[in-house]
Parts: sequence; C-alpha cells; structure tokens
Amino acid sequence: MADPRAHKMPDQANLVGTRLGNYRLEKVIGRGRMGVVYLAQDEALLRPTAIKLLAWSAAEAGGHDPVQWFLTEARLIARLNHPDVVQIYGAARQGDHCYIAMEYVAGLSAEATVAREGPFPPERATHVLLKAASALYAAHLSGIVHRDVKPGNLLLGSAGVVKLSDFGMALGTAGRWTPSAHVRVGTPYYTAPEVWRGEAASPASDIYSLGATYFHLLTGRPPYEGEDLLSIERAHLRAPVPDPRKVVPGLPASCALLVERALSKSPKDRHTSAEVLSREGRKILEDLASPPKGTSSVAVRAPLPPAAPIPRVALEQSTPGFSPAPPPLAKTLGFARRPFLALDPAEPFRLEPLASVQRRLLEGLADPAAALVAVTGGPGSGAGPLCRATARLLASRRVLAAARDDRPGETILAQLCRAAGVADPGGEEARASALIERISADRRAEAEPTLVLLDGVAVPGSVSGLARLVAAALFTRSFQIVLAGEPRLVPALVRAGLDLPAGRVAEVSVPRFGPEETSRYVRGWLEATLAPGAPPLLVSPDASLLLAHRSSGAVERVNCIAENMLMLAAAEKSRVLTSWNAWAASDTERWTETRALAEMPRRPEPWPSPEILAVLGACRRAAEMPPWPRET
Amino acid sequence: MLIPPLIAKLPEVKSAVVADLGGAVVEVLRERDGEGAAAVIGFLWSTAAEAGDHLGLGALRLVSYAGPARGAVVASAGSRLVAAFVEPTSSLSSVEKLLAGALERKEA
Repeated sequence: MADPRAHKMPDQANLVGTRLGNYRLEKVIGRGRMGVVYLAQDEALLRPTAIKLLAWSAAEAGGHDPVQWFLTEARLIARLNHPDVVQIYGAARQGDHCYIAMEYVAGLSAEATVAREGPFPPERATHVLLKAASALYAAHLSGIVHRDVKPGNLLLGSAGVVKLSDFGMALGTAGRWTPSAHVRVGTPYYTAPEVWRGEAASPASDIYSLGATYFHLLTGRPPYEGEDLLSIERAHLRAPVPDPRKVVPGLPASCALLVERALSKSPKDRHTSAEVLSREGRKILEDLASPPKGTSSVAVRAPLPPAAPIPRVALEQSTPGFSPAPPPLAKTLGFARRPFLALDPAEPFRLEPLASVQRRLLEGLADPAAALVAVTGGPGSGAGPLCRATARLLASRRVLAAARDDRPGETILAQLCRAAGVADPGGEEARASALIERISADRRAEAEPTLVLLDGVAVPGSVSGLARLVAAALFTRSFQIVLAGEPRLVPALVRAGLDLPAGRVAEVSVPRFGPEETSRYVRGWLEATLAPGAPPLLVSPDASLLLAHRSSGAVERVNCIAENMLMLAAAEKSRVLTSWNAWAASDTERWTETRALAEMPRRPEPWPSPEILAVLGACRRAAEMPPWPRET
Repeated sequence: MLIPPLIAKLPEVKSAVVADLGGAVVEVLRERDGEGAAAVIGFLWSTAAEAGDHLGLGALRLVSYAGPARGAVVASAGSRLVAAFVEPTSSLSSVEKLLAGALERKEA
C-alpha cells in the first residue's frame, strides 16, 4: 500500500456539484486549517449537511499522515455527544477525497456576527459564553482540550443555538501526536500565557481563551491587540487584564469580574473548571434579568374590550390561584397560603430561576417581529404551566391554547380548532388552514396579535400542520406562537423541515434546578407562604441536595416533594427539614390530598442507612462538601 | 477530629456537633439527629452574627443558650462551628471556658 503521506492533496475548493457518498456539494462555506468546508445536501435524509474536506498536504502535516490526522479529528468529535458541540454524522474516504460529514448550523460565527452587528449586549454575550462553557466542560470531562477557542469557532444558529466547532487543534490531547513543547497552538488573540511560554495546553488554557472570547463579544475586539505577533505575545504574558467597561462603558461589573478571573495570567487563579465559570455566568444572567428595585420589568398591558369572536380560553380554570394552606400545614407549621402549588394569575413569577424564564418569554413576545417563542425543558420542567401562567399576564391578547395531554386521542391542532370555535375539517393541514383563516379574520378587530399556545408539541407528529401555522405567523404577523416542549424542540423542528429564520424565532429554556437553585426556590416559597410572625422553617443543606437529586431538578417534582416534606415535618412537629424528609417524601403523589398525618412514615433509626448514605455521599462529593460524618 | 477531646470527655457534655457555616453537619458525637442540630446551629450563628454586628460586638466567637435543664455552647473555629450540648446548665460557664480555650490553643 502506498504511503498516504506521499499523496498530493487535490484542489478541494472547486468541487461544487460533486457527489461524495450521499452528499452533493453545493457551495464552499468555510476554510479551516486542514480543510475546506462545503454546504452539501444529504440526498438520502434530505437535510443540509456540512462536509469538511481534507485539503492539507503531507508537507504541512509535520511528518504525520494527514488522512489519519483528519480522521482522528472526526473520531475525537464523535466522542462528544453534546447539544452545544457540532455533531458528526460520519467520516469516509472516496478516491482522493477524505471528508467528515457534520451537522450544518445555518448562521454565522460569533466573530462574523460581531463584525456585522457590533458588540453583543451582555445578555447575549453571556448566553453564548454559557453555551460554549457547557460544551467545553463536556470536552474536558472526556479528556479533550480544544486549544483553539475563539469567536470564529462559535457558530450561532437561529433561536439562540450556539455550537462549538473545529476540534482540529485538539488532536494533541487525543493521544496521537503531542506537539513538541515549543509549538504554540491556537489563535494568537485568544491564546493563554502558559501556551505562549511553550507549556502544554490544558482545560485552564481553554478557559483563558473563552474569557478572551467573552471580552471580544462584549467589546467587539480581542483583549490584546498588537501590531505584530511579538507585541500580542507580550501583552498576554505581562499586560494587566483589560477592563471591558473601558471599551463599552455601562457594562455590568460582574461581566468585567468574570473576564478578569478567566484571563488571569496564572492558570490556578482562573475558574477551576468550565462548570465553575458557567455558574458565574448564570449569576450574571440572573442579575441582568432582575429588575431594578422598586420597578417591575413586566409591562402588563391594559385589557381591551372583549369584542372579538374567538373565545378566550379559561386558563384560570386549569391552574388555580393562591390557595389557603391545607390544615396540617396551617395549624402545625403556621402557613398562611399553600406553598409549592399555585401561580397567582394576577402576578408574574417572583421566584428564580422561573422569574427569569418568564421575563425572557415576555420579552420575546413583546418583539413584534417574533413569530415563534419556544419554551423548552425536560419532563416536569414546568414549561407548559409557565407558558399558561404567562399568557394570563397578557390580558390584552387573545389567547388560543391547547395541550397535548388534555385530550390524548386528539391532535393538538384539533384541540386548537375546538378552542377557536372552528369546525374541525379533518387533517392537520386543513386544520391549520382553517385556524389561520379564523385568526387572520379576527386580527382586524384586535390591536395586538393573537397568542397561540401549544403545550407538548411532538416532533415529527405535529409538524405538517405546525409548519403551515408557523409560516402564516411569519408572513401575516397576525399571531405569535408559543410552543412548550422538550429540550431541542427548535432544532428538531428545523430538522423536520420547518423554516425558522433567525431573528423571528426565540428559544427560552427552563433550567433544571441544581442544589443551590433548589435551596433558593424552596426558601423563597417558604418565605412567601408562611404567616407573618411564624417561626422560620429550616432546610438542611443535605435536604436540599437530596431534594435536587430526587426531583432530577424538575420544578414540578420539586414542588411535589417539597410539599410532602412539609407534611412529614408537620407529622413530626419539627421545623427542620432534613435529608430524611427529602428521601421519604419523594413520592409522585401529593400527600396533602391523599394522606392523613397519622399515616406519615416515621424516621428509621439509625438514619441514614448505608444505601442512602452512598447517595448522600455522592451528592456531597458533587457539591464539594465534606463526607457525611461517622459517629466519633 | 474537630471536637476537642477535652470537651468530648466531659461528663456534662451530653453530645456535640460540628457544622459548617451553611449548616451542613461535619462531625457528630453522641447526637441522634446531627444533621438537624447542625442546620439549627448554622441558622443560629448567622442570626446571632447579624445581631452581633448591629450591637458592635465585632467578629462573633461564642454564643451560649440555656434552657431549664439543658444548655448549648456554640463556638466558631474558622469555617466551622463547634456546638456542645450541656447538662446540667450550671456547668455551662465552665464548658464555655474550656471550649474557648481549646479552640484558641488549636488556632495557635
């Protein structure tokens, strides 16, 4: 067999129309260090695909086999299965062509977007930072250092999609060819000081590059600019970390603090992991979402006269307002109102992180250009109830709502027809047409577009009719669609053929609660619902850890378990909620409706048993807490 | 071991708990519900520290509570809180002194 290093690489930039496997190359969309990237059509699956073709000669490969190097990149990315990393569909060799088929992200890189639109607002920059940090954390857990994190390697798709791409420089960590120490990798503007010094790249150097990228997104330029490579190198090694507020006055101090820490000259002074950096980024977003004291960020509009013919959906019937506390919680623990249950239809959410999600949903709907806002979250995330509660705030809007679970035998569009008072014509596309006609006719009598709320959209089940609805929302601006569904709903809709242009579609995700969010959320509910003057109820840190663990961070499960914990506390006449309460209360039913206090389980002695101790120990390790103590 | 052995051996000290400042249990001696006790100690300390600030006491070092039959001494040891539960309450002041002294020696 011939030595592949001896191959002369053919010209790869002029292959439009060529077919490689199932892929027909359509146009060149990029050029990387090792290859040319084409937009191609997968003619079997009928989806756009990015094809990266090797265009790298043995001479450039420093003695390595370029084909093997290229395929190693493919295998490396394939090891990562993360929503924020460009996914790989396959890799193959056909004749002289060696290629990787990858997920196509319709959009520009963050670098190109900043060049076109200017610096990002802090919310957007932080959102991109969080997505990139999440992808990096997954890579680092897999033992992969990216080595070339920069705005040019962050692809921005529609609806807030961010993908980390180009793991070509990560090959040194894949264990095949570690570059010699003096070979610097990465792009100068974003390269960490230790890498400039010739030390090996590490997760900490990726964090530095991500910090430099964040600086670029916030300010429109990299942190250290210079006339030549030497001056850039000197700045990375010795210059003080620049303050982005000197470039863009008015940026929050928290953004500058994150930059300062991530760009520390010494790796040990940086965030200890991409996850730690994410936590700081999430706090920035929370702070940005909090309205200034004494003001409300939610503009609730004055209601219009109820004259339009589409019946208003009785949302209030599906979710009760604040209820009085059940007797055991009122009498024994001093609750004035029932916690962990109701949403007040007259008020916005007050507890984080749901308050931030609701604000973002309202902001999305306030943009007249927005045709579709997707609110996504895992099972029990509360995405659907949150959308319904938010719709109640928009008193001036006509709301048409349907939920998949309301009538399991009926499609969501059939339910929507019923809600709109439209005779069901049968067939999803016909239903969509009838709905569009009805809504468009009503639009003439309305000051604001109708809100169409679909909870539990199944892909591809609902797509044919939904595609028509979305297209109508885009072109007529008669209505806006809110979809509540599973994570990755928007990419799934795009894959299923929906055309969702950037700028007209927004995605808001309901986060899973970690132990800290769970603790804050539970304390928030307790403070809001205990009667004035009632003694405090304490929640031990281990109870919060187990509650987050047993609920899988889904808010609807947190609500159920937390209320059951209170029932247990009432039975024991205790004001301290411990890991025992969290463990025993992890039932799927709410005990307030099904159990009397006398039937509550009793705490076993000793507590915890070895099996539960193992779970507690794992939760404590994940939270960087000391192990559960043994009796001394 | 964070509970000073001198304190652990005192017959008046019926039980003891070490908590972190967030109220997580770190060490337990003869205490049936160390987790619950630690949560209460963490809450107590944060509340007492706030009150101490208002009163101009400076950094809080030790707090004692006494009921009719049982008392508790809580002392700060860096990022940890050491609590000793004492019976009878007449022994509270001597346990206070011993605990404060033991923690000071440890710091030194």
